[in-house]
Amino acid sequence: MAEILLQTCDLTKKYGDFSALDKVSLTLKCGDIYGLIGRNGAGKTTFFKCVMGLAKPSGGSIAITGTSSRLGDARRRIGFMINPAFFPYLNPRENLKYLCRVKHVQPKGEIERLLKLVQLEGVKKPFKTFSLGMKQRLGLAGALLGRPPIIVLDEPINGLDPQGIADMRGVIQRENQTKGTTFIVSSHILSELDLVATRFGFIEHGRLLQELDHTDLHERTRKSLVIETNDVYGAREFLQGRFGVVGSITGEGRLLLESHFDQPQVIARALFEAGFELSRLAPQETTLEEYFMRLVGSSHA
Amino acid sequence: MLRYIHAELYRVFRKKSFYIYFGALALLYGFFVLIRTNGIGAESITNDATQVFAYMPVLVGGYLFAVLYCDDLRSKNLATLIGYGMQKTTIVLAKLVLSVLLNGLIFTLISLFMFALYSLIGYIPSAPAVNEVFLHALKAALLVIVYAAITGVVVYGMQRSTFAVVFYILLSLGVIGQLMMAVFGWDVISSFAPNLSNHLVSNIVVNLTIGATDGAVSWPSLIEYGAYIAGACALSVVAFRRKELEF
Repeated sequence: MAEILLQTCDLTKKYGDFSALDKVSLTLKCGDIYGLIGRNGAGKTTFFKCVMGLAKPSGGSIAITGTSSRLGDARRRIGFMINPAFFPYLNPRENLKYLCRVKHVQPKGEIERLLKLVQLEGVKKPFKTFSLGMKQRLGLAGALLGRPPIIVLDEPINGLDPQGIADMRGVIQRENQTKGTTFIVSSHILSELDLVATRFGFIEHGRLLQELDHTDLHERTRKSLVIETNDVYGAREFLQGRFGVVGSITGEGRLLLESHFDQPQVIARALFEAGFELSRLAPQETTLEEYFMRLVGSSHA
Repeated sequence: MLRYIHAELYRVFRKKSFYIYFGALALLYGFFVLIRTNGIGAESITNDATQVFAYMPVLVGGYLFAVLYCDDLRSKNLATLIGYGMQKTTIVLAKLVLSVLLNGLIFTLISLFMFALYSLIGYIPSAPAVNEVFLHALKAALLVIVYAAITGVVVYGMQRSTFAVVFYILLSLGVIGQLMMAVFGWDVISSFAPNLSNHLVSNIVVNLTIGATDGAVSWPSLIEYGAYIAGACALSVVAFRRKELEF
């Protein structure tokens, strides 16, 4: 079984009455590329802030590489990028050299390796003149500095052009596969995370709705059963009672079943016999985006 | 802490505006010395020192404060440091050490520059004049260090560089000191605790330098000065712990 590198248990963060994080229990295993998916304001950055010690949790616990005490020392094993933060008047090499000194990393060779990796070698201009994409790439280099075993990346592909996105994905996958680096990456661009992540966590209104691995997710996004009836809420309740199926209701008033999608006749007959008027019942394939929206929708219902 | 101090020194000395700013100040001072045609002599340097160092807490201290403390806020570097696991106490104490190091260096260099400039125009300062210039430099450096430490509470408590710079300038211009004097002058306070103004940091530093002039250490003033620094650092740490990092 893979070693657990990061684990939160009922992690909660409140600002007054507002819960930015509500009992989030997340597990990051060694070798994962964990995609944390959520809309803007869902709590992704707050989660990272709590993990990195930038915000004090209101409740719950955090364990990094198995320890929940002396987190300051444990955090030294994490490289992170939450809004690339560098000194505006220093060039990429100088900024990385500064970080090398803070992190006690031998700069010789390491800076060249990283600048080459993020394609910023030879760039002499100061950070303040960088495009957003260049800032993101230097942020990634900063996170990878010293080869920490865990990397936290908050919205790393924001502002990147298609080539930049592909390059970023390539770096993450290469570091994961060749060095065994574990990543936790947040994004609201689901299709992109789908290409790189091996596990997923869905977060909405500060709550972690679901954790799935890539295979499970694709199993679930592959097929579902869509039902249109005169009483979707009644049908949902009926099916839950009869088959133990938890359905979700879309914004268009359709009922979606994530299981039993291979038994449309059984579901149809049961609904018909219970007196529901069916106008449509058909299996359908779901995109990751639709799955997420459905998950979010059912969390509101 | 040493690694962080090392990194900070690297950053400061890589900042181009650091050299441009002090270069411009040096040129300006040199220009004023050289164009002065009457009344200049070997001892003019002490008059210069009195006037020049009176502005130093604002002109030099303000810039050093901004470089040391406010650059961290503007570049969100505190998030990087805390995220790396650095303790907030370590950051506050390291900044104090850096402030002492940089102010010591800069005020020594300013004094040496004044001596060099006067020597260049043929007025080699006497030993008492050299002592007096160094005492003015020491006074300015002590003021800048304590002002920066006090403003650290605003830096870490509010994490807004504009507020911090404004507070530092008000402090170094003596505006806050004047306000305190006015408050201490109220009957209800002065009857209860007379001579409180003697314990203002500006007066403590004056006492310290007077003691140094006489070749003696004013221990009560030194202890009070240390208490100001220690109190400011303690409050900075408390403020830093209470305020969530913004980025």
